Amino acid sequence: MELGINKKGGNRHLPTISGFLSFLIALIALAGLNVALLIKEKVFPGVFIVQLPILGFFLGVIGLFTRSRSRLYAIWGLSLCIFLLIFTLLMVVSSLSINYKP
Amino acid sequence: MSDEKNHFEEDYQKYLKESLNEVNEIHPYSKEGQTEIVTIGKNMARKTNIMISLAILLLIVPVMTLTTYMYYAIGGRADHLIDVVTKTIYVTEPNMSLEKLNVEDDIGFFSMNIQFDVFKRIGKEDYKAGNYSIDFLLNQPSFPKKNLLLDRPLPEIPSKETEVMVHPKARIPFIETDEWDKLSKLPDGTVAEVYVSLNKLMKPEDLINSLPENMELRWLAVDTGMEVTQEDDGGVPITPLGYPAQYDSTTWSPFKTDTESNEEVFLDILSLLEKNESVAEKVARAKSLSLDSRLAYIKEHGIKVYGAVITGPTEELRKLQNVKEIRAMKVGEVKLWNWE
Repeated sequence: MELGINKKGGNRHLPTISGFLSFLIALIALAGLNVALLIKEKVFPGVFIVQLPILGFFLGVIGLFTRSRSRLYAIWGLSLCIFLLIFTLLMVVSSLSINYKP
Repeated sequence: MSDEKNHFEEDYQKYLKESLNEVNEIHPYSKEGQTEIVTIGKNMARKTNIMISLAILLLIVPVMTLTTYMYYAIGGRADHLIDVVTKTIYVTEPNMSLEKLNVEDDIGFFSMNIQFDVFKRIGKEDYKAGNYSIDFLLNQPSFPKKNLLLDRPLPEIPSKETEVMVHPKARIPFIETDEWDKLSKLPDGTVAEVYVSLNKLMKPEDLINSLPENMELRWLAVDTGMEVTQEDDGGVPITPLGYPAQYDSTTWSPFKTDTESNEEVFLDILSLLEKNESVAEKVARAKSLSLDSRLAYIKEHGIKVYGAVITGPTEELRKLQNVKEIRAMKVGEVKLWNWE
């Protein structure tokens, strides 16, 4: 059997551009967060834990709206950005509840 | 039967026609096209693998950090450990206090480090006596790393021979006259801290009334039934248990209370430490606190003191030699005049 192309079908295996960008942004944000955690930076850089994840979140949502392309990267990007935003929220809450000083 | 056969035949021909049409719509790739598709597929698979692997690796540190923070935050676990550590200092270290507001914490992977300064009141001023650094692995503390700035620190490993406050029935491990000589040879115009041992067990208020004026009673060593032998049932040396004699105005100090007396706070602290004895024993100098039996003894016999820490001008402290309730005295820290 040889490879062929079905005209009715689309290019389903290729991911959406916005999904790819979302995944890439999430990876950059995660890398920045890792650096901040490993060097024990007291004040986390907001760009890595707020701005970039929000941008990645919207790109990931846009990346989900496709019929013919793969949503794999969009799902990963979206999931990682949601994790980063939840991480930020939980870290703020837990930091305030550990040895809180007025 | 024949109709049914014809019907199947028609269906079969129809399906065959549809399949042939579908096959005609599939245009075979050229050799270059096939190579390109395989290359794109390989690159996509490689890129996907790299990105997903990278994502999983980069998630490890944040997930571990978040898990640790949640562990210490849920149920106020970190605050509880800090509370136990700080209160242990108040009741096991004579005349030592700390500023709970300035306790620093540092959360690592499944671990926490706390650091704080400790102070001693000598004369009218609080002097920094050193700092503590304690590492916790989850809720298990390591032995504290202490950096004491004292001239005459108490021994890190207590024993009968190094005790500074002794029970009326216990042997005094130092030469009393030497200590009075030290005090008499200190220049006037200095302030000092002295550890006194009493002739008999006394109620705190009786001790306060028997002391000369112009000096301050700082800390009371309470009889807990083990001070005669100075070791627990297993033969492990113990340190005194006691409490500050004065109202402590330091923010968040357990002895800054208008509703309870210092004695009541002391008993509350012992109850807390009894429930967290493993942590308290790591922080205290003595490696056995035997809090269950000592707390039960105090509840049964009431609070009676056998020793105390007193601070004041050196010339005033010399008057303690004439107080009949005082059996022995040991000089602690000495500082320049700050009494007025």
